[in-house]
Amino acid sequence: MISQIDILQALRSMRQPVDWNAVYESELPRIYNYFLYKVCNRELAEDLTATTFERAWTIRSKYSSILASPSTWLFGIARNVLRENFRRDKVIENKIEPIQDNEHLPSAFDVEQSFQELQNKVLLQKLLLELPEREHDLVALKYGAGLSNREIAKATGYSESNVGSILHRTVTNLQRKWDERHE
Amino acid sequence: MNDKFLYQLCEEPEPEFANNLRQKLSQPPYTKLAQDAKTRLFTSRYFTTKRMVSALVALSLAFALTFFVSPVVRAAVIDIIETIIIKGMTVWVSDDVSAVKGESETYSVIWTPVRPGDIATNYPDFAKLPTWVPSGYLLQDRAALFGSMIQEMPDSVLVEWKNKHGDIIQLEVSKGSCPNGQVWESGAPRSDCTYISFINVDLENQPEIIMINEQTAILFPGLQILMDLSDPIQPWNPYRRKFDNRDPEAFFLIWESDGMRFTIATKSRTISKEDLIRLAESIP
Repeated sequence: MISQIDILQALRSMRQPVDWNAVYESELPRIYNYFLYKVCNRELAEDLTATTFERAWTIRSKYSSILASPSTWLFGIARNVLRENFRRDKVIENKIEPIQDNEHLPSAFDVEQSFQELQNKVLLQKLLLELPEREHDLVALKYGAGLSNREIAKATGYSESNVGSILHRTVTNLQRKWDERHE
Repeated sequence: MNDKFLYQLCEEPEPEFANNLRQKLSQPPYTKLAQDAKTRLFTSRYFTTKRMVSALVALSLAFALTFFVSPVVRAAVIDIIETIIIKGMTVWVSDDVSAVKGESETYSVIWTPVRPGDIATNYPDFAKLPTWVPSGYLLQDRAALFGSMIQEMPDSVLVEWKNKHGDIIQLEVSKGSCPNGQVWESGAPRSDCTYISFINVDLENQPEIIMINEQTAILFPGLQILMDLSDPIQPWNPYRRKFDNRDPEAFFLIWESDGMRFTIATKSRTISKEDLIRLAESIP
């Protein structure tokens, strides 16, 4: 349910022109990390991020802040881009490869620490890819994009309390699996 | 709850990627649209509200190359092959792009899900269901309500029927373009009959003028403009549509009657032009 305050705020902000450069700077890392958490592949995340921004920039003349904040609007587009990608290539999972850190090879001095970090990342990717679609999406929005529960609720259509409970359950479950693998 | 471990995949995008994308977005066509929009904003600020309402209405019909500029500018850039004016509506027809097919999405038009029964209860003016539809088609439980959330009445509603083969009929009922009549007392055309649309057709599928219950209507054979109502419901549901101006299974029909505008879009292997007219004429 949209409150009157939301409407008034939207109407007020509607008068302000959108600074699209600022939107790009602030949202690029969030959109990119959302995709990174969803597909666990840098190259694919970059492709999806670029598609999202290109589409958004193409239609931004039609953007109205009365409908949604630029961030919510962009995440709406991003989620559609991802859905289309899944539809177009139903075996997207087959394309997923773990993040490679070859371009940042650790020095001999901290090789052990880097190896441990890499192992942790690979494990986290594996755990994420095992999640059901809905839970995976919420975790990507929360921990990848850094959205608050309220922002996630706006972007996904779930209620804020529902987002909170699903995330709590999911994170507890992930934490248990994470701890099991580290014992 | 310790969730710190979940942040460790986060990273900054590669600077080269970020810079390349920024550079790409700062060049045409991405800049041109924004400049156009900015120009429109400053030249028409006074009419912003009116334009927003007009845009909401027009976008539900506009197809592929729709944009809102003056007729002079439009005529200068687009080869208008036909101008059809009926009942306060002006439809420019062009065949500049002979084949257009695809999907589009815009948050400029949002819709709210509603049940057909609720339309009859809450918005009786828009409850214009036909008394006849071809056999096998069932009225779907999800319909769409368009319009500003701060207004009590919607601008339009859309209902759809489907059969077991996935064939679709969509009916959109909107406020008419001339709510106060078509002419002033002096007999001059009213300036508030403002519904304008631009439709790009295929060379093979020229529009034709037909009659629906003694009202002039425009029939576009081979033109598919279907709204997608299938997505999960969100607080803000973008207007997503499929379009194809070379679809032999599609029809698009538009007319006005009793202060309301009707559009029927079909994609079906079995619905004929006669079926479509019968369906349209059965709307009370």
